[in-house]
Amino acid sequence: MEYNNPLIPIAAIPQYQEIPLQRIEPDYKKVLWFNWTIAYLFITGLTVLIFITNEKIQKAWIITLAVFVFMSSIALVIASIEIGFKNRSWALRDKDIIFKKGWLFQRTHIVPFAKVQHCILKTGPVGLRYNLASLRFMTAASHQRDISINGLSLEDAEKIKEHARQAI
Amino acid sequence: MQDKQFDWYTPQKLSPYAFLFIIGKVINQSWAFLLIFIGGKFLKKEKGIAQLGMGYFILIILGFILFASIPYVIQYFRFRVFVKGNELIVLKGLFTRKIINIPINKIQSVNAVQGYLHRFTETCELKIETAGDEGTEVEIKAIDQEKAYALQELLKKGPVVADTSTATEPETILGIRFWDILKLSISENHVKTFLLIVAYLLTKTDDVRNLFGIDATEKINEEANKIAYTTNIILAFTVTVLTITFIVSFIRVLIRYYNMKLKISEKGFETQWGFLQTQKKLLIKENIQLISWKNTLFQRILGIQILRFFMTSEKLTTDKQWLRIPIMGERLLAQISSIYQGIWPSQIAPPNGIDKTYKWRNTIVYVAPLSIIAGVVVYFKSPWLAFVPLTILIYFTITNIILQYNYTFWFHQNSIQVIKGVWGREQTILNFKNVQQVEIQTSPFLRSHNLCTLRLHSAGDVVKLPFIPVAQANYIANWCLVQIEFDNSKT
Repeated sequence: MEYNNPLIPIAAIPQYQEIPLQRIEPDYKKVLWFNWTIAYLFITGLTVLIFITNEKIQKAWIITLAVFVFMSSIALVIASIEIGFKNRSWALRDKDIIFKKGWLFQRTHIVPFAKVQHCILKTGPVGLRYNLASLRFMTAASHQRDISINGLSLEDAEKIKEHARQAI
Repeated sequence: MQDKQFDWYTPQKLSPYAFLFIIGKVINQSWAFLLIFIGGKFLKKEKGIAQLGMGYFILIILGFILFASIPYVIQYFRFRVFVKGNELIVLKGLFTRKIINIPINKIQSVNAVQGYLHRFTETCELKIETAGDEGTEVEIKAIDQEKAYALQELLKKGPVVADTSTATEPETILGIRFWDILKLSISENHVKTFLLIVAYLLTKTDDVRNLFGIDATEKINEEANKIAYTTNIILAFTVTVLTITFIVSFIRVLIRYYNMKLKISEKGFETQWGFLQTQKKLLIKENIQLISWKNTLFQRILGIQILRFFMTSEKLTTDKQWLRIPIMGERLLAQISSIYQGIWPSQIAPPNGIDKTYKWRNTIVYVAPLSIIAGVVVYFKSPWLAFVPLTILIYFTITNIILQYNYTFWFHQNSIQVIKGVWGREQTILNFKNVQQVEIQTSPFLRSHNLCTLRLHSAGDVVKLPFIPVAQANYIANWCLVQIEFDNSKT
């Protein structure tokens, strides 16, 4: 048996990190604001209800602590929307798709189309108002590690889906 | 493998012995009802069931079993399985006709399971798994043993691409002997076994309380308080606990590895094992996603490695589906792994480590704050107890240092190999072509040090390289993508 381990020049390998990434649609920020506002209205209502109905926790230090936790979480969400939004970007290559997201913890996913089982284009009532859609790429990766790209324009999402469909 | 040839291209029925399994299933499903019914006959003195004659009573029970068996009997008669072209076709259903078409190239494994009743009737249960589902796709409850093995062979070879002229007979490369069982029992995780025994006993004390209203835990505590503890008693108690733990470990090993055989062929592996029931599993080499072998400190001393194949569609949380193979020598490990990866990266490529800051991460972020908080809380209750969180802090600091020191990886043209562990070792080999997606993660700390964590997701498991230089991670990621995207064979 002959063993080969030839040297591969780095220049010959396509570099994912050199690809300029495209930001998602600015309108998606409005969707994020809307979703988080609804979520926080619900959480606020529930917390107030708990405090009103339960006299045992109506103590100054507990209320102060709850308000502090609540305000901190709101600050984190605002930061993640405003700063994290800048990092939500994607790029389509001939044989794969690159998607980056995150604020403090940033993740870059590269999904080769050769490994995509199928992809799902999803639109929601709020997103549709701004002509936005999500694309979900299903692979056989363990731990249900499917990749969703939110905040694409409906036209872009359809084009990417069509490209992926041909490449799969 | 067998002398008889079965024509799997014509629809095959279940074995007539399947009726025995049907009756067994009905009794198993309705045992509680039958128990109440029988209890009613013999315990109640006057009314109802007790007044029935013995003949009628037996007839009612038999009638009930027969009546409850009707749906299964219909299913028995409607069940057919056969091969058509490149597909395995299963016809079944009670009132509706269900047709299952499974492309043979999508079949991940074919397991033949034999319990006592199967052995007695020379039948077996066939379990066929595919990539499409995390569970078992098709279960054939009772089929003639020879037919089952013939189907196993047929599915292994594939009816269309079968080229018997070059096919070689599988070679047995591993057989577990009694001495190996003993070695494996000694090296078992006895702490885990002990905890399992304790958990079992706790559930039993709960059962005793529920059934008889006696608080067994309280009784044990009362009796334990009466004992005058001497060195001899403590020693005898320790020896008894150790003996019981060893016996339980021995039984666990016996069930898991008894009569284990591993055969290797060009197509993959055939394994057989089982103490109470014999199981056979077929591992097709194309479906092996990654391989991993590991050992504990004891196993390292005794030269044992536990090899695991990560297969497509295997449910990671259901360890019943996992196949662990005890390996007693390096040469055997090389022989088995060669079917997945001929040359290990560690044999030809230079080793790479992870960044030294990794060793402080867990200690500073998790262990130290928790230990300090616990230490402060405990100190005000009883100062000497503060040694416990302090000891935990020291232990985890040391283990994290060792973990970072041992974390090594190698990569070459087509695969990556990772070794890690504190007291024991775990090694993983992943072929780049089996990677489903690549993930690069950074945190503020990692970005400031120009580091990142690379994750290579396969259909079996994830290979993680934490705290490696960004340039190196990018190189591996790009090379991995080249291997996937410019490979003609899709998985």
